[in-house]
Amino acid sequence: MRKTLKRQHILKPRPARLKASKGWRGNGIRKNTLRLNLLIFLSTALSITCLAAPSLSFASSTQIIEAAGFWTQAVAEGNLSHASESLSNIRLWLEGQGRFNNANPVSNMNWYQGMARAALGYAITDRLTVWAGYTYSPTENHGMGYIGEQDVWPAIRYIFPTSIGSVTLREMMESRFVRGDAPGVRSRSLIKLIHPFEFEPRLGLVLWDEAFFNLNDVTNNPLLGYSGFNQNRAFAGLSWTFDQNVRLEFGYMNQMVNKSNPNVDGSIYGSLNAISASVFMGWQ
Amino acid sequence: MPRTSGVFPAGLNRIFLLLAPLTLAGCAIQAHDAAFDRYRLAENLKPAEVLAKKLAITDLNCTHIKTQELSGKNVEGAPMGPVWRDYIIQTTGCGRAKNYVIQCEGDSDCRYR
Repeated sequence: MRKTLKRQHILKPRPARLKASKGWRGNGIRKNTLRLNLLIFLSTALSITCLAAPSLSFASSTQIIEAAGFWTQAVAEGNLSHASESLSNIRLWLEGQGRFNNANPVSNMNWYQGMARAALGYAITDRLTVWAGYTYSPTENHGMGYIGEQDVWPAIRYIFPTSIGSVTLREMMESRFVRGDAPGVRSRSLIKLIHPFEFEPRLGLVLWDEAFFNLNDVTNNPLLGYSGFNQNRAFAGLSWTFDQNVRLEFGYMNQMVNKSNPNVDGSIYGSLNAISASVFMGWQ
Repeated sequence: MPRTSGVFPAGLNRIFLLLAPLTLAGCAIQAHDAAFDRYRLAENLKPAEVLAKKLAITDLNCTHIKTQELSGKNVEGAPMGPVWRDYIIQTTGCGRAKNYVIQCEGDSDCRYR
């Protein structure tokens, strides 16, 4: 159980101490490490952009279907040391989401998708965790029938500090099952930056992008799509860190979904402009 | 008969070929992170001690405070966010003592829990 906060004091940020500090194996190594971390961040972002670019090069026959929405998310995660100290490296990830859009013209915002996710992870280090998980996504888009998608997936997540904030990389490989058909295999690559502001470290700028690629055609179930670029989610917003274990994130998210059929001329994309609100909770 | 290549079936060889670099990468990251996180713990200790001292001056009603780190560890708090450093700092002064749990994120954002 989380202990109650008695009181909280914030220490004013101080200038970086690169020169004053003895550093991790010396200042040069530390600077190099920060540079390396930044390089990894930038190269990953560049890779995602390059991978997505060919699919996003809009030709004249490209049609974009716009929609507005609201996504909510609650994520809780922590280790199992409460059960046994020997399980302190085992982590549990629980998540729920509710998604709403304006696809129904006779009402304003309607629920169209939910998501429940659970996963068990092993913390290889304090920053690197591997996961095995399950996701259930009930979906009922306006004018279409109900679909319940079930996914199983491994994932790997790495968190590292940089000079501009904390960066999270996450890679998931989903096997997606819908109506008992052949599974669709989809990779998801996420990169996320949280940059705390100097004037108020509890307030932070949050930027993330997640690119989805189908690795196979599931021709007997077009709901799962064709191989290639599937969708991209990009977020820009603010975070508020209440304490070590509770953080809120609120901002704008764009979801660009590839709805094209490679056997038909032209491309169709669905662009959802959504307000996204998330709460992240942790326990130790 | 399954096709074999050497001791193991060809499929297993491919798996080993994939697992070997992954295992090596995992070991390398483990070694890197352990050293890096030790460094981060040492780096954040100073601001944690400064905060503990500031609190103790009031709580112990004493201006000559000494601090000592009792423990320090990395903690992954709220998910998909930064890794924090948790310290237990003992403060002593004017014949009194008090321990503080100080949590630090980033280079200087330290809070008392």
